[in-house]
Amino acid sequence: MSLWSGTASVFAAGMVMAVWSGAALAQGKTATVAVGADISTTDPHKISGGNEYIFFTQVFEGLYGHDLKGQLEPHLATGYTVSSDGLTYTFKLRSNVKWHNGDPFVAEDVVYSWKRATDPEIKNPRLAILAGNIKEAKAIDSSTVELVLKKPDASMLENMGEYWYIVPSHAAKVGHEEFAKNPVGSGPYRFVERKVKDSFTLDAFKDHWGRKPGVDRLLVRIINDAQTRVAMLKTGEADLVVDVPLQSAKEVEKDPNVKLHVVPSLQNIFLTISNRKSDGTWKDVRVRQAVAHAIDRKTIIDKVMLGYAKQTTANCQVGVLGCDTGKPGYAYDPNKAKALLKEAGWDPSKTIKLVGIAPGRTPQSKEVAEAIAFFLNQVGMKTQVEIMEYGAWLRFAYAREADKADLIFFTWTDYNNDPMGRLPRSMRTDGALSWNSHPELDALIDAANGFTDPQARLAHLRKTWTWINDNVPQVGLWTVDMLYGTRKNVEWTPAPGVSWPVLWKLAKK
Amino acid sequence: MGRFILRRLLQTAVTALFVTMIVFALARLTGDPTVMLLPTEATQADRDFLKNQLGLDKSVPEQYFTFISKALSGDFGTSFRYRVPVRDLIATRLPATIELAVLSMVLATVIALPLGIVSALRRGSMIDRLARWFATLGLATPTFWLGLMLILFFAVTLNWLPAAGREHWSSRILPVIALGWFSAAAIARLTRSSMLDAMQSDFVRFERLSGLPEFVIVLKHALKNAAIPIVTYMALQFGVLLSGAVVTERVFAWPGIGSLVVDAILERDFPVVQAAVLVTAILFLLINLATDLFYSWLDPRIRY
Repeated sequence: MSLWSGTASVFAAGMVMAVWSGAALAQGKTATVAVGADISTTDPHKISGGNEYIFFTQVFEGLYGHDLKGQLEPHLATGYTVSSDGLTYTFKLRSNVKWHNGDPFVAEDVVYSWKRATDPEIKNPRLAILAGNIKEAKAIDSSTVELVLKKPDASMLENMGEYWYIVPSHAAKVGHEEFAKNPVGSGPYRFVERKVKDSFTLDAFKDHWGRKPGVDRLLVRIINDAQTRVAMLKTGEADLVVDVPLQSAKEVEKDPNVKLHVVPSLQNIFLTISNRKSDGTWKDVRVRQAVAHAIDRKTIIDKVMLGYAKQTTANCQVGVLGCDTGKPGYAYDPNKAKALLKEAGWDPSKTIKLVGIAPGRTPQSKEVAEAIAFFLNQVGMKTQVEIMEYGAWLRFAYAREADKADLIFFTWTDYNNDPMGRLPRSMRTDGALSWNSHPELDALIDAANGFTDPQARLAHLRKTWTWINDNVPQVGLWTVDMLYGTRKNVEWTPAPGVSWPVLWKLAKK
Repeated sequence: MGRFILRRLLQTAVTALFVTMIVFALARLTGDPTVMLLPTEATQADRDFLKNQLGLDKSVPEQYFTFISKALSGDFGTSFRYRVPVRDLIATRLPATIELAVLSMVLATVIALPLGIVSALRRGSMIDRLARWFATLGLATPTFWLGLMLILFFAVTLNWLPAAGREHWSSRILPVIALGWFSAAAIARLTRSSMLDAMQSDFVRFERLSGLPEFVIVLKHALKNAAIPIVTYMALQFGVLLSGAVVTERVFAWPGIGSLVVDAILERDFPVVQAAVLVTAILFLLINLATDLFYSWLDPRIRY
């Protein structure tokens, strides 16, 4: 009896606590965001992966960046001019910008940010993309900065928001380590506290030059389990959750207290073909085209991805620069696939190996690999699937040992609409994750950043994607939709084209 | 006794050393952490530099020696991924794991011991049948499923308790139930069968004949005799709970050692894996030692 009354009192007390904690949450203007993985650093020049941007997007800014619709806009700059050789950029800086510690933003901060981002001691993992190509940064006056490049870089402005954050020269005084512990930026939120693998807290920055968050505080909690994140959304413990699992999306949609946001992302899912395989399996373009025709993407998207993906054509998504080639891509046509294989003299007794990724990293990755194998078998390509844990897969993908696989299931998230983040690394012959060897494509990629006229560059990128579409060095499948959930009283629209939440305008009623 | 404790402590140290060797070697078989730590644009030179920074360019015995010599002074190195001292990571998460383990064990004991005893004394009765049903269900229910169901019912549907975290004491209730039920079920079954044996033994019959009150016989004599297997199991189970109730911690977003280690393994964060395994191995061994000492109190015939 005493046991039962004890249990009852524990539950009663639990109820009181739950009601009390709910009341406390409603009074303040704190928004709780639940994400699946922690950031690895708070130092803007040590970013190593896409999931770090949930922090950096809110706290730091580049000279240029993207607005909430994904369009390029000036952030810490107000405009720029570029020399005719494409090597010298002169930026006019925004005048009313303050750092989170109250210091004014000046041209020297930009010069310092270049020095810091390229400092060997920092060992910036993203150096190669942008800052490493700057030969010199000069402060012309307190609100004008000149950047001299080593070689023309037409992607530079697009990349400024993610690859080169501006920091105050105050960082030099406190030292790299201390700066990372208490980072000072200029973004709409300022850093308050970080508990590794638990949470981080940001406060709205009242003196921001232009944006005013609708909440006073953001508490970003690391909740690994996706079902738990959904439960927290339903109970109101979280106001916004990132990565609602596909299987829970319908259930979230039905809940009257919450809202599901489905946003097309730039997380590309594709098959890389082992083009350098020594037995010449993939030399004939007809064999590669057969693979592209053999896979019923629509059925896989509907049945395996539960509808939360957008089919791609030449392995790029609508909106990516130059992707609008006018080519329809490869329709599901098993008969055509069979005919192409026959023409190419495909040996039906041959077995090909498809390397996939174990569950947990990319939605339904294992099931997708199995479905692809099914469709390839249907057209007479005997396919054997090998599923690898993500770390092992990554090692395998980097090793690029052409004879060890035929098709490799890939996930690759672009950070913006400019394809030059992915093309050199994923498709150029010596790219870190490229299994290709097509000199023609290499030449197209090499030339892409030498343009100063945006229209001419766009035309060149269209030509590049057309080549990719026709020659199938990779088989584009789809881009995965980002799924967010918010409470009904939260006002927020996710930004398209990025796989992290931009929270500048998040508000709570 | 003193010599016994000293000998066991030495054994503990040697076992812990072996554990670290195995973990150290196995971790390094899983591959190169720089693949996970650097972005795709990193060059081979970047990887080599990072390997050098992390000390991974040295031979494995050399790395091991560095780790052990530092660990002896309480320095477990720096997390590859989070660049913070591993000691701090463990120190912030160990209390949460210990708390969950202790609370679950207390809940399990408070439920299971009386249930096991009553069901042994009233064998075949309604309460015995209910107790066995409770135990079977507890043993057969997967913890992650139970955890999710508890969240669904008490947090989502009724909105009584929080679904995750460790902020309020009310957030302890669900994980403790999810974790405690399995232990309670096992302890209840074990208590029942041990008590049944004890109650049928000669000394109980003798004590009954000598007119001792039944509750003295049950609680003081029979239970003490039945206790050794129960205590052994509880100690083992407590050790398991301390090494991190991985699934429960994940489902309830409980900031403990279990979820830390799982992520560290997936991220190839060797220093975190090594330190966490070393700390939990030592805790496990110490609990075993304490259990052995407890035996001699339970059964004076056991002498060390």
